[in-house]
Amino acid sequence: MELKPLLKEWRIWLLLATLIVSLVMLNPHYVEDEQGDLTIATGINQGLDLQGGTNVLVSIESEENTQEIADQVGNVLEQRINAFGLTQASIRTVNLAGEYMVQVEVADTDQAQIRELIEQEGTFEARMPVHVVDEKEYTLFDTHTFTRENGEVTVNDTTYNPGDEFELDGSQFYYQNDTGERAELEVVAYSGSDIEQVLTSEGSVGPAQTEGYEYQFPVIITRESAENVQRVAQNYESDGIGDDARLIRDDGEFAQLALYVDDELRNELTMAAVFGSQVIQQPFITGSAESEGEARSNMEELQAILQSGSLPATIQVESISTVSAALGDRFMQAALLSIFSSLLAVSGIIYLRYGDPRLVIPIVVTGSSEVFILLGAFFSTLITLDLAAIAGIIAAVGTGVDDQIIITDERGKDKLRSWKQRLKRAFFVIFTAAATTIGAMAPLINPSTSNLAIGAAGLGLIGYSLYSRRPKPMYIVLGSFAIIFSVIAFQFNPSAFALQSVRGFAITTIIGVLVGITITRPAYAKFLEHMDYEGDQS
Amino acid sequence: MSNTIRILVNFEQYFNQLYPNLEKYFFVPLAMIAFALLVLTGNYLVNGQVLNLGLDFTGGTEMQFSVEEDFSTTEIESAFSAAGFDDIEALEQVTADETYLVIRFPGDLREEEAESVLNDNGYNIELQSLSTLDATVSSEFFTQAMLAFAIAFTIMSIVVFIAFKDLVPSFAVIFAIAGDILFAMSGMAILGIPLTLGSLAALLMLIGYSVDTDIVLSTRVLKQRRGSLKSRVWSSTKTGITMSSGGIAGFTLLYAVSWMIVGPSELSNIAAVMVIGLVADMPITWLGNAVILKKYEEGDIQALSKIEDKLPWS
Repeated sequence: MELKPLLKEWRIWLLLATLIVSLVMLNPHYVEDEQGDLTIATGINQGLDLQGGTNVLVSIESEENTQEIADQVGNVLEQRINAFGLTQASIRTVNLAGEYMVQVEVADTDQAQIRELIEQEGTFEARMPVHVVDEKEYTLFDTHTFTRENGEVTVNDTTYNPGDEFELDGSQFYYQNDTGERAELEVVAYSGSDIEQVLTSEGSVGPAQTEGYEYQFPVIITRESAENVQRVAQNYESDGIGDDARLIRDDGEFAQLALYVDDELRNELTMAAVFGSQVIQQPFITGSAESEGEARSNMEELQAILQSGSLPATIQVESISTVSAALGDRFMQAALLSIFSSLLAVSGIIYLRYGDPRLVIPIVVTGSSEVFILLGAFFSTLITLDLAAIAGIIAAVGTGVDDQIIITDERGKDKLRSWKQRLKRAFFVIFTAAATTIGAMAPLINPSTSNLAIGAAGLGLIGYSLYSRRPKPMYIVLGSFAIIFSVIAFQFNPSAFALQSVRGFAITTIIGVLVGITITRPAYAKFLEHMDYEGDQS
Repeated sequence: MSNTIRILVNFEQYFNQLYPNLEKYFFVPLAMIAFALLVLTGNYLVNGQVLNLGLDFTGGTEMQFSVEEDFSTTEIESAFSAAGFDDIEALEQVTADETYLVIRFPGDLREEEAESVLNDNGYNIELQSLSTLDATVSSEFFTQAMLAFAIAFTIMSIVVFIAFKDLVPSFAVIFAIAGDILFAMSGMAILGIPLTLGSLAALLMLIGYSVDTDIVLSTRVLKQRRGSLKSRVWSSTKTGITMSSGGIAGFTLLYAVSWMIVGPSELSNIAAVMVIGLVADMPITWLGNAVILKKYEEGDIQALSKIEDKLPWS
């Protein structure tokens, strides 16, 4: 074997250059983990099933399902997830056979928490109690008289029953229930949409006075709503003078501000009397929980919901999948080991067949370069390495080795023809096989475009047959079939999203095949030419 | 070394004996396809489905837990039904160094619910993976997957027809590919590998592998004019069998390694489908497709070309 002429081949240099570029892009480096051990890290983008993470698909239950609504839902969810402190979240609007949905991917594995965060509609209301025994006056802009009779409450000539909601001077009232002694109503002092800013950095968690833990954080509300809070507060007496004075109800009990999230009572807190005398734009929101951790996570969740606001439409979780980091690690381990051992197994077969180690090495080196180029150049940039992609790598390397066997066998026979002619024949096989593989995989990436391509190919075939000198009836039949198929398939609304979990398989296979026919295969053919392998003589 | 050459020589002698009566062996691929159809029909009659559908296509919930204690799946199932979940299916997932608990439920089951039932029964567990899918979404996934499969098969057929230009060789290739896929499907039915998006992708990838060997055969037999027909069939058989063996070896290892480390998973399903399909590809290509092409080259199949001549548009 002569090395010198080999060095003059640009195909070999192209392969070497691609390998070097891949190595740079792969960027292997040492990192120190929490235990202080050194591990090798690379620039490979790992999918959620390899690093651990959660994937949620959310459908939108609104009358009109438009991309706009889905985008808005996506924005709210994104703010919520970012506010909650989850990094590497990816949120996008997807289309499943004509219906817009939102997909959320997070590199976090507490799926119960994520589900709760997403499923909250996010309406927040702080309400003050309005208790009516017989008659009560309540002043907002005007003074309204509430009269209670037989469990019904009449205001401004309208009668309400428990469970009713109504508005007075722009404030929302809820008639909760009648205890027999009194009618209990509530008025909204301020709501989630009045909150301009959530001061998360000033939030704190500490032991509660009696038991458990308590959290609190301030929010900034609009001037307008703060004035409304003052108007509401002025309807209550104070239990004293000074900073410790609290607002009280007619019966002397504290008038507690009730905090509701999605119409569910979360907490009740006493109100300082100062709310009645001043416009306060920075009220506190508090809550409690049994443990410190729970209190903190409740606080963060509530902050995230207040920051993102409420969802523009009702949503429903259609699908959740989560993979723990431990399982992800095992998958990654399985992936690397199976790629490596597959290469080893293939070299065993090559050795058995050709019995020539000088052939085994270049074939395996070519196969490994393909894996390396895929990992370095593509999985660090364009695509994400997930489970499906790993199967794709092995599939691509398998077809690659197939091609090398074809080239090698072509080398060994039919010596009367020049190597160039024989190589041409080998490449006919390789290119047709590549076209079929790509054609079979493309519908997994983009079924609608693939379907249109079938229709276009059908038209092309018919056109070609009609204008060619010797029309082939076969092509007319095939073309008509292709067009009919394409039209029928179009009716089913081909949707790429449904196939996204195997998208990585298809993309990897296609890129692998392309890298093979453009970079590694030509280099292998040149290598074989300069090696004095004359083929097996059997 | 001498061993492998001896095997090859023996193999060639065997092929020489086989070749004059190659037609006789056409029954092998036909029998394989008939067998596959029988299995799939049987599965349809017994289970109401041609293939058992996986979570992707049925919807429902599946969770995998690592469990500190030893557990029995029947005990866990009865614990769940005592807690009001009757349709729970508990399975063991065994890997080389641990046994995991897999829980399946046809509807939406929350992790908290499963965890509390298991904790109440004295199991300390940790969630490894969870997936929940709504039935309406999964049935749409199924429609879309079938659609993608049909589109892929059609594209493959068009490429094959354009590349080979002739009716008979093209049909021979499509016959072989369809045979591989059918046989792999029957293997899935027998081994209980569910049809998921992953195994469907593997069935599509079989198209790519199957076409590789078919094209080697067709090109050598039809486009190469040097050497006897017999030597051309033999040389392509040799190349093709090496190719298939490489694929089988690679995917067998993927199967073994992934099974040992993570147990049955999407990876091992893909690998199993590929191995079965590639094994089936050998007889179907070299005893099926090869016979069709041999007959065609020898001029025995004229009927199809005659039909073509009689079509009104020619």
